[in-house]
Amino acid sequence: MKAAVLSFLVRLYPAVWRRRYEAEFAALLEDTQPSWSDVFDVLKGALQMQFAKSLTLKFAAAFGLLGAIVAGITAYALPDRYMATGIMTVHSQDSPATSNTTFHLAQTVFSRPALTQVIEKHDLYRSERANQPLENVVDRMRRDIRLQLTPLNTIEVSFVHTDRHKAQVVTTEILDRFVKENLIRKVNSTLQIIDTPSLPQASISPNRTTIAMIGLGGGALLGVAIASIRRMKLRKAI
Amino acid sequence: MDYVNRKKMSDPALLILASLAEGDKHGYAIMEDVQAFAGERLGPGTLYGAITRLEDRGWIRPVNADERRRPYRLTAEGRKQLQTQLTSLDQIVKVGQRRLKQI
Repeated sequence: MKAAVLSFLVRLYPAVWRRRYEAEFAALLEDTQPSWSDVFDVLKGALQMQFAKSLTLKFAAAFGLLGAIVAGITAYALPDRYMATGIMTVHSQDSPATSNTTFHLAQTVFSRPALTQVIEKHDLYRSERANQPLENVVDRMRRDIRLQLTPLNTIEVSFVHTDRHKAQVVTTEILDRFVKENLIRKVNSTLQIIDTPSLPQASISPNRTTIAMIGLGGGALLGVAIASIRRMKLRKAI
Repeated sequence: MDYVNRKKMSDPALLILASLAEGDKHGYAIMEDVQAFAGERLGPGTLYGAITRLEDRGWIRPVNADERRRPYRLTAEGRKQLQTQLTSLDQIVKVGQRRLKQI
């Protein structure tokens, strides 16, 4: 059993080392009665010799592959996030009105009480609500909302969520709240929804390929750094 | 001044050089000799790791032999390095013993 393990471990030494020392190393292993501590000693020796003699490229490839696997697993553990978008148009007798109107309406629509209502009504961020104060959850929702003014007096409203149905429903609700709030204020501008949010089909994040590529590159760089540092240390040692 | 400017050598390398100072030996013979004079058993991986480094530095060299159990010989440079190490270790031992007597 130990002999078979040792025979396997000898193959872990770099090829350049084995060409020079394998025959005499095998003879030494035949002469000794190896213990399990010898087995670990040979494993340690093989790893050190790999660091000292192997090509840096081999380490870069090994760590790069490891980085890609870890990053890939992490990426697949992250939930998909979907973005729904709706568009409103602003008609106003005052000009320029879009930014002013939007600013005042947004203050109300995105206020803490208003967003709290939306969160509770649609049961959003359940796990966050269980662990964090509501204020943090509202801030989180604000970060998931995107509001964009276009030069054509239109306003794009988007909401990002892990449930694509909720992303669509909540975006629709936000648009409705803008329209209702505008009616309540009785200002000289009208808001009209011209494009209702559709059900998002594809997720916008995470980009798993990019994350895996970052893991691959990061792992390869780490491999080069570790191999270089280790090799310098081993070459200094006598 | 008690400070000794000594480039540190690992224990396995020092033990191998000390063993070869007696004469040519192959791996297993070095292992047995070290255990006999130092009471320390060098594992196969540790032994050949040190042999590789010592040969890379030219402090030991294999004796021309076709047999699988290839003997190694201390070179002139290896002998010089061993002498330096032993001198500095001897100085450390002397200082340590003198200080122990002062307590």
